[in-house]
This record gives sequence, C-alpha cells and structure tokens, in this order.
Amino acid sequence: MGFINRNEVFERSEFSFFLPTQVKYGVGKVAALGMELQIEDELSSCNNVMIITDKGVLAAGLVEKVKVGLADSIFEIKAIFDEVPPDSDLKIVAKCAQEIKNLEVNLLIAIGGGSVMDTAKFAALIGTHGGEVRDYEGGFMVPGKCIPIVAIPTTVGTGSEVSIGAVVKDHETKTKLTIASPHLYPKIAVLDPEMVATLPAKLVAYTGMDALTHAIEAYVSTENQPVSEALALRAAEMLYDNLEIAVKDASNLDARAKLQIASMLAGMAFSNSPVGATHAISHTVGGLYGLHHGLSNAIALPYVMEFNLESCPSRYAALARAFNVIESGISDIELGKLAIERVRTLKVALGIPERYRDLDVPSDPDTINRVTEIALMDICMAFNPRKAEFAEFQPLVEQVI
Amino acid sequence: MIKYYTKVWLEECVKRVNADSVFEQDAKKLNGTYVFRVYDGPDGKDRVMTWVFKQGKITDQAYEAQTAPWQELRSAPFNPTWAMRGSCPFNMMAALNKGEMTPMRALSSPHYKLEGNKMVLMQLMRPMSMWNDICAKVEVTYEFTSEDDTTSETITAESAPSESVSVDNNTSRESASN
Repeated sequence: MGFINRNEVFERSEFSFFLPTQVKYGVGKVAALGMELQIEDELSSCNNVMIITDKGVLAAGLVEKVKVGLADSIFEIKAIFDEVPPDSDLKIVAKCAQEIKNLEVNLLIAIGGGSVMDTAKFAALIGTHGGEVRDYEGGFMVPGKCIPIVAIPTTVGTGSEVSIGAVVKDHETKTKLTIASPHLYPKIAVLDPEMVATLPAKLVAYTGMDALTHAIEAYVSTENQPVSEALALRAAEMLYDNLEIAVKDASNLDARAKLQIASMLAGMAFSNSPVGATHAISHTVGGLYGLHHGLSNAIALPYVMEFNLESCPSRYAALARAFNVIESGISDIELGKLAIERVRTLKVALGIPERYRDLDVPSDPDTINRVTEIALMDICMAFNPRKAEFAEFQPLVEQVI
Repeated sequence: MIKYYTKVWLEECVKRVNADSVFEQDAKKLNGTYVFRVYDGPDGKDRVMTWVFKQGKITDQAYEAQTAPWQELRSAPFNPTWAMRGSCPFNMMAALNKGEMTPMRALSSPHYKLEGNKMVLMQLMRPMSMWNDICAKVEVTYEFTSEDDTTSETITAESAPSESVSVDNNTSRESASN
C-alpha cells in the first residue's frame, strides 16, 4: 500500500486530461530564447513580436534578458507593452489589443506574473477575434485560435503559463471576469530560474501560497483525476518543502527553481481539475478590495480546508503525508487537521496575515453577506468538494474576514 | 398557458429548439443524452425528462412523472453513457427558468446535483446556454395541481408512442435537461 495515497478505490468512471503547452525549462533558457523558438515550426512565420510586461519586471532587467535572447533571431520586437498593473483590468486589455492590431503583431511574449500573462491571453483573444472580454466570459466561449503566446513567468504562483484560463478585473464593477478556453493556453512556457532569482521575498510568499492553493484545491476538486492528482500532490510537496526557504534565503536558487516547477505543475493540475471555494472567496474579496490574488488565497486557504475536511478526509490525509506528517494509527480526519495546521504554520512563517480584516477589509455583517452571496455565484464553487447554501457558507466567510 | 416541466412544455421546447436555425448552426457539438430529475413538483410529483441530441438536433425525448417521493427514480444510479444528469427540487428548477437564480448559484448548492464529466460539460457551455435560453422563452405557469398533469407516459420527438423512460442504469435512452 502506498504511503501517501493508501491505494484507495478508484471511483472515476472516466476522465480526460488536456495540456497543449510545451514546457522549456533550464537555467539560462531565456538567454537562448531565439534559438529555442526558431525550432518551433508553428512559430516560423510569427516574427512580429510584442513583449507584454509590467514596469517592475522591466526595471528588474528581465525584459533586457529576453531582448538579448532574441537578438540575431527571426523574431523582431515591434513593441514593448509595459503598462500592465498588478491587478490588470479591461481598459489595459483593450489598449494592448489595439496596439496588437495596429502593429500587426503575430507573436506575444508575456514576461511577468499572473496579471501580465492573463493580460496577454485576453489581448491575444481580442486582438484576434475582436469584441470585448465580456463577449467571451465563461467557459469555452472563444471561437478559435488566438495569436500565439510565449509565457515566461517571473513569479512562482500563477501557473498561467500552462493554464487554460485567465482572470481580469473590471474596475468599474469591482468584479473579476474569468475566461477558460483551450485557445488561451500559451504555446510555449519558458521556465528559467534566473527569471525568479530577484523576486522580492514578499512576492515569493504570496505567489508561492497561490501555487499551494492551486495544488490543494485541484487535489480535492470534484473533478480530481489521476493525472492532475499526481501533478497536484507533487506540487504540494515541493511547495511545502521549499516555500519558507525560498522566502528567507533569496540566494537559494534551488528552492526558487523548485517553486517555479511546482507552480507550473499546479497550473497543469487545476486546468484539468478546477479550483474551489478558496478561489471563490478570494476572487470576491480581491475584486472588492484590491488584494493581491496570492495573498487573498493564502488567507482563505486553511479556513476552506477546514470547511471541506469532512467531505473528503482521505484527500486531506494524503496532503498531510505530503507535508511530512508521519503519524500513524490516527484517522483521516485527524491527519487532515494536521495538514491544515501545517498550512497555518506556514502562513505564519511567511508573514501572511491571519484574516482579511488584518488588511482593513471591513468585517461588518453587510460585507460578510455580500461576499458570501457573490462567492456562491463564482464558477469555482461548482468544483468545491462541499456544496453549500448561504446559511452554511456565511459562517465560513465570517471566519475568513 | 403551458405548465412548466410537463409533457406539453417539453414538446414545445423540442419544437422550438429544432426549429431554431441559429441553434442548429452553433450547437453541432451538442450530442448525447441529458437527463433531468426534478423533485417535489407543486402537484406532489417527481419528474424526469430525457433529451437526446444528435449534432444539435433533438432526436428523442422522454418524460415521466410519478407521485413523490419516486424512490426508484431518486435512487437510480447515473448511467456513464449519459452526457449528464442534473437533479434538483422543482422550486430550484423553476427559479433557474425564471432567471431568479443563476446556473452558477445552483451549482454551488447542495440541492443541485450535477453528474457527468464537468470538464466536457464546460466545453458545451455555449450550446447548453443557448438551449436553456430557447426553453426559458416558452411562456409558462408554475402554478398547477395534481389534476393538471396525470401522465407517466413517454413521448418522442415524433410524438409517437414509445417505451417509458427507464430509470435503470443500463438503459440507453437519453435526454437532456433544462
């Protein structure tokens, strides 16, 4: 019997797994980007390039690395769009898409975190098919192929470089729009640990906890299945083992490289086994109060794990074992509680606040009720292992806030 | 006026769906059997509707109602050859049809049970949404008594008599929901 999974009965009658993104990993991979991309037949006619990034990445010199990597290749950089904010919005997407059309760009290189990569996905969509983001909101509404994207993550959490979806904020309504489509997968993900070597400790913590949330929620998803299960569990283990080290010792490239890989694995997992209630709450609070997505997930995660525990105790028990819990002779529920305790301890070690109110999110009854109602309408709730009506979910939201 | 979730409503929905040229064009990915169980109707009945799609056309459908709780229906296992089965109380289905509840809100509820591969269903979100929109435009009343719908018959697309829809897991008859 396996130590982690205990050879449980296989309950799925069928499943599917899809992953069209090619992954290129290696220290110094970006330095050879032109050569790497020119190998790809599908990109041979895509030589009008736009780099999409943000000002922080630009200032850190990471765009320069890409420019050097593309020198002497067939790829000509037509423009660098560096206006993506930390929490990108519809106006930025529209502006970027217009530039794509004006310059007849046919390849996007996204260098950054989730906001940058998701902006690139939306801009590729609008730049190809026209219209507005809202026209394609939801699942599988994108009518066909989009301008290809090469994604180069500079954070260790989003998984957007290998994921099916993208999220953007509508600042006017303070809501987040989600689109999932196989046409949004980047063509290539380039993972170079040097691109995360200078990531500030705070962002390593936030984005790493985002990845851990992806891994845990994919593992307990109603749509869990063997392939994403393997990816999620390995990701959870790597994140647990390396997150604190990577935050506290910026020189530990090995730990950061593992976080980068784990983030990708978790992204692959949740693209096929979607995330649940943590994200539903996080999307809502993040949309209303502008919190960093990873931070927002990190705060809600252990509370949601507690809420879900009785729905799938053996899953949380397996996570506990992945987190180095070696207790034997105790129930799955008890093991699950230990997994939750480990996540809470990690949160504290990383300096993540306990609750949203610690970040000045209002904790009055009206806010709690509003967050509850909006979160219950989030698509992620469809994949949470425990379903809930308002009366059951509201106390959870109250705890988290 | 047509009473919601009755044989007459189903027939009207089928007629409209199959006559909709935009739907026909855009819903070709919609294939297979979609089953909906709706419990505790205002007439004290449980209902099951089955819709079979082929290339976006409804090629067969079935309807049956029996006094609630119809245990055989409620305990029938999901047939893995079906594309999906949705199950919920009548009031929830009515709220969805009236637009008082969003599908997302229903999916977060413990009272709405969705079976089938959700990742595949997500890929069918657009045609399913169109199908739902067509059905929601049928003018209906939600008020009826046990005398209004006494059937436990099955209907087919051709309105020809057919075998009753089976709740047995091994049946190959299918249908959709809404």
